[in-house]
Amino acid sequence: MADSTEAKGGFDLMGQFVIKPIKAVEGTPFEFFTNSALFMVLTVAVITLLMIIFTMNARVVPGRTQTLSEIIYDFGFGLVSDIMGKHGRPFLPFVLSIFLFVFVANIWGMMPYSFTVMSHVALTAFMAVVIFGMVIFIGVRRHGLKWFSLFAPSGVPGWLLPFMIFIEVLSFFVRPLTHSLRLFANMTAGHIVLKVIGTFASFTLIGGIALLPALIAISALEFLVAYLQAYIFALLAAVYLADAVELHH
Amino acid sequence: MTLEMFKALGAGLATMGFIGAGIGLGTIFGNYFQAVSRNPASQDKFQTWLFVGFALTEALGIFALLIAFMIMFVI
Repeated sequence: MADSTEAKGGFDLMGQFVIKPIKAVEGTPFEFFTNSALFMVLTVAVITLLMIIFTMNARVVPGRTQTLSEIIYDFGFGLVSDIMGKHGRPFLPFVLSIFLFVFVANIWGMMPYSFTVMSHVALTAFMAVVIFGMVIFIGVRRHGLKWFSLFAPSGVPGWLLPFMIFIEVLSFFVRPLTHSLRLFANMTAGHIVLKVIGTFASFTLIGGIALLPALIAISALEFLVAYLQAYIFALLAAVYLADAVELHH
Repeated sequence: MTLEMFKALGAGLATMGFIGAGIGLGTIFGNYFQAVSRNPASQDKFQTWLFVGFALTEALGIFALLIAFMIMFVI
């Protein structure tokens, strides 16, 4: 896709999302190590290294770096306990890991010449389906078959109940779809907009100078989106898991 | 008119679903700001659910985007 559009002299908007083996392993048996895999490894490495370094000299009175790690932890704790209450504490590591993975991967994607891992629906759909499966598994394990009363809201008149159950089941099963597509669509669309404006700016010098404020503004917006979409992804994971933990009806 | 042109036209029309999502998001954020400006102490309480509502409303727009993608690349 990338070569054909470049050859025709058009814009290559989707070229930045092409998955290909990184240069160092081309032609070797390690060709499965693509640029996507590289940036996933980098993401996990950054999170792990920072967390290890931050908490290396853990003290009761935290230092500067330890405070930062505690702020991250408090953020996750606030998110989980707001949504799930005290039953949500076992899920804190899971939700916080998801947030950090998506957030750091998105920030890596904002670096020039990098690859946006979350711009592929395969990865986001996998994460969403894992969360969806966890909700069903944990729900049935905790509450048995009573858990399926989730689909029958209480206080609904009898003649309306079949319709309500139909709608509830439908909205339950489209969750992984919207959960994954939101992250994927936001990251892809944002990077395409950046590329479009960047291409326009690169045509002429005056155009470049004129579009510089717009480029800076859109880049700043993209950093905001990177954070916001990671937050929403983790938040929705917590909301969905709350259904499995506690039966409201 | 070729099939490709109709596909592009259909995908463009399918994104009109975002009109509804836009109206919904405007309502959500507008009401959130109204609530917070009337009672600033309630900001923390509403913020989490603001984003849940934002995500659920945006989901409907994403369905429209999905249809557009399907028209363009799948069918």
